[in-house]
Amino acid sequence: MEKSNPEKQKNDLLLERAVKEYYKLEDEKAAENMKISLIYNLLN
Amino acid sequence: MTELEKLYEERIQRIETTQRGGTPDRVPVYSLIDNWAFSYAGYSIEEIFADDEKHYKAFERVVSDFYWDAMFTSCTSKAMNYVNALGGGSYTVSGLMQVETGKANSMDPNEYDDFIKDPAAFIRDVIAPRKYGLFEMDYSEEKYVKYVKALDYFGRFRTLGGMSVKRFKEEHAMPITRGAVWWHPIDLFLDFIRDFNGTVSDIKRNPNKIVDACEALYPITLQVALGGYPEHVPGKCIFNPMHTPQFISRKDFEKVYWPIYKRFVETVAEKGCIIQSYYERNYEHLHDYLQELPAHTVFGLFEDDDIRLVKKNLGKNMCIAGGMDTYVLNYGTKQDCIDMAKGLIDDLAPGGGYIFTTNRIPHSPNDANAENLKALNEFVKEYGVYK
Repeated sequence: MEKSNPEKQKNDLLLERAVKEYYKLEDEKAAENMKISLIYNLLN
Repeated sequence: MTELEKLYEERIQRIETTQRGGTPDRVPVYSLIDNWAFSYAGYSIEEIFADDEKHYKAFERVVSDFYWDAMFTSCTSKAMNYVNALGGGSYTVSGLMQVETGKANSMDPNEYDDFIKDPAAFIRDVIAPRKYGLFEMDYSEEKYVKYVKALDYFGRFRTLGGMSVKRFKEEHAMPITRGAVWWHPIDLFLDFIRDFNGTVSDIKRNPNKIVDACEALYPITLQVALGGYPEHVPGKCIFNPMHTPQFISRKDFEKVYWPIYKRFVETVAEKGCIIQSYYERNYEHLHDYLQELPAHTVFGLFEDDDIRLVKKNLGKNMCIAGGMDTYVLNYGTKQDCIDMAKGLIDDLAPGGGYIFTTNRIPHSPNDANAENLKALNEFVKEYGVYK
């Protein structure tokens, strides 16, 4: 199966930014929960 | 209290009493209807994903054209516009919405250790780029904008669900029982990570790895299921589709499925919630395990089991739902349907804890004949009264 390239894809940054800019979550715990939820919702 | 509010409370009480194993005023008539709503309303599945109003109206017609005491859902289960905007996923929408064979496999069997080390990072950095064009792209402003567009679709889907629940309550006094959804981690492997062949093969060849991977993923499933549903709401339950057990032996079930399933049900019991487990196909060979689950915590939906045997084996510790064969519902006469329903109520209603519904989730147009369904539900409403 193809290897991914996390350094170039920066999907961690993508989610981080979505949580801060799109969902506007500043609270650390709420932001972390949202990130987990976004990751879980990638299982489709 | 208005008449609609009173009716809603009556229905909540009916479903709550029964899902706790008690005897209500009459046997609840429960809708498992899912995508059947679209064909019934005259819409294609493609149309409803293009138009939220049609999506809502299709389910509203099911609410208003048939008698129900509660419904399992107010809209379809997958946010397909979100998945499509990500550029991939395991489902295809073409007349029906189905998992496409082979598309779910997005992890090699030799990658379990990496998954176990950090499942969230592995899903984000390894599985997602294999599943979706968007997550495979190098990072850029364009990628972010596209992701936000996908999240817009996801938000719209969630809003549609919330709005439907509210309107069905306020305008039709119709409870929707789904409070949350929980997937056993191994069912996530089966449906979205290793596909059918990969998962079944891993269970045989490398059971310890898949067990460890499920343990690593379990806290995430727990957080997602209970994070937004921290305590019981009367009339609601946590929907739990069970896909893997039908394909594995008792021995494998005991090793790879049972420990986490039992642990989750015990967690649900401690919180005073109800889990609605959908026992796909036949669980007769596993009834003795299910007898160990905490009492009055499971709302069990049964497909191919002999439901009278289920009542005998499990009726003391769980609420049982099902029995109305969708084949008879679609291809039989009204009298065939009524005869079947009468037999189910005669045999299963005594002692309470029985919810009348179909033995399968109606998805396709051939899963239910509307005229039969109408006559059937009216019959059960009258005949199912406890005297």
